[in-house]
Amino acid sequence: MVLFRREFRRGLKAAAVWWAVMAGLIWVTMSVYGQFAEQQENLKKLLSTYPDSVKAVFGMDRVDMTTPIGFYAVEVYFMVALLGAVYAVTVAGPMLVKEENDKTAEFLLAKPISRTAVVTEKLLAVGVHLVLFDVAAAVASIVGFRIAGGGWDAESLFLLMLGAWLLHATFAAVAFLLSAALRKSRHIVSASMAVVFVTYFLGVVSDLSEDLKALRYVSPFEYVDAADLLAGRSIDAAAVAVLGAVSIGCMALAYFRYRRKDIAA
Amino acid sequence: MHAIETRGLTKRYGRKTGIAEVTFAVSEGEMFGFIGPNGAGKSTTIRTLLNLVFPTSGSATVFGMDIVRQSRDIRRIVGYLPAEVRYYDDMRVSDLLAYSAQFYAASGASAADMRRRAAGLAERLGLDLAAKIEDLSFGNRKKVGIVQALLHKPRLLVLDEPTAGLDPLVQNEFYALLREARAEGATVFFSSHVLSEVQKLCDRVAIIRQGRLVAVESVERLVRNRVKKVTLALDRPEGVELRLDGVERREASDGALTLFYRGDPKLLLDAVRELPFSDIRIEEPSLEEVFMHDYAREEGSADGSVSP
Repeated sequence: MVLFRREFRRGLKAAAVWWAVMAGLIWVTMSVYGQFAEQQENLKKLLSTYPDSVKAVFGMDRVDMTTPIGFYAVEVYFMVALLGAVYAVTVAGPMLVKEENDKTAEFLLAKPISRTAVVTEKLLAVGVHLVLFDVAAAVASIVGFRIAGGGWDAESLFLLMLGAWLLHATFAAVAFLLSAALRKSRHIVSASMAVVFVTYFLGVVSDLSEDLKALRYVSPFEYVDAADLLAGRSIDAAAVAVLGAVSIGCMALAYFRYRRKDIAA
Repeated sequence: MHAIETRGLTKRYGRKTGIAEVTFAVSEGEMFGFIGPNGAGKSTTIRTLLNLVFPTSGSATVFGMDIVRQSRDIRRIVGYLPAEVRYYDDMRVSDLLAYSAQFYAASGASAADMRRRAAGLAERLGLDLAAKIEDLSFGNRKKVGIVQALLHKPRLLVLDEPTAGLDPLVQNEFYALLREARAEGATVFFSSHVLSEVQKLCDRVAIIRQGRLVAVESVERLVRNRVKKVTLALDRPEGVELRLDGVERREASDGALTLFYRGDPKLLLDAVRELPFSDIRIEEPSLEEVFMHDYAREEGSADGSVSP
């Protein structure tokens, strides 16, 4: 666990910055809820004039935005999902390849540690950091609800955070596979960041029109859509299966690849 | 049992050959040099032994353990100094050494012993343990690498171009460290492209060129075969007549006559004293020149199947 401890500690400082940024965003947004609630009637009228497709993008057709949890689902959750996905790929993307990129692999892999253990301990470090991120998000959200004046329940929040974690783990697994397979770290973070934003965008587009509905299947964000989670009171089993299969598949491939990888001099 | 034994070890990168059919053995307790020009395959061989890269064909063992299947057990008893030493920029020297020690401690070595050794080695090499890695010069980073390689009292030291970048005083201290390690029973395997360094330290050397092992020889023989490169500055070098046995090759170029001479240096001086030269230089031929000279002919026949 020497390597895990090192990676875990090394990532803490950056993690704290991410937590702070996210908490700040959550609190600022939730602080708007008070004014929002005061003008409920006007807003309801305003919102009813929105085209249905726009409402669908934000899940406003399925949740009541005038409740704090509904407001949270529409205005806050996508930030947690998106920010966390970006965080996940910046943590997982360089995780293995940075040793080769910085030529420290020559040090690390000459130590009595197997390639399998290197992958396992680094993977564990990524996993723990993702859990911490989502726990931090949950805590910040609870504080956010306090700012908004209450109105949350543990079950809903837990469901949302579990969904977010599943999403983040999936993106991390994809980035981690790239890290195991490629030799230069330069492109990995930007490539996986592109995957995050493109799939997010496809998710948004898929809600805009019936013709593009099929696109939602390629966007992990749509698998853990806040409105769906709250409306169904559970995460869709098929969504769990797909995201889980992608994650496990990527991790298995990462082991397979890294165990046979030639480390570039 | 041999400390290192390779059998037809081959590494190809796509169509490019790193090393081909490399076969040699290093006895336990031996100090073994591995020389060849840059890009000859020294690092590839070493990195294959440590399983940083996988052999395309052939096999090798370290103390009887297979380099691929038992790599982790091998790395427990090997100290490795890479050619290019780069460490984590966020660490201080002491952090890096402690980090390194933790891996060996996890497989049974005494953490206290390693800490003591690290402090002692750092002092002898003049390395500041509190310095930040990112602030270190190339030479100082190399020192970190040396301490890191010796920390856990390895049975086998694998050093890739260890003295490149070290100043002469530190080099001497380093040589002393190697001799001590050896006196304590360690086997030393190190690569170099400096013939004189290998000559000073090693019992035997393997010579590698273009990925193929050209010869494995005792240093004694290498020295006996020693050719001197003599350069005379004079006009019209083509016409110079020289009565001297042992000139293996002569090259005349613009204003200079170059001789590759093997023999008694006194006879050489006697023979050239009558020549109208304005300057004379007697030096060791470069490794390239030694190869061209001694091994160019053998290259076809020596496919690496040289026995110690």
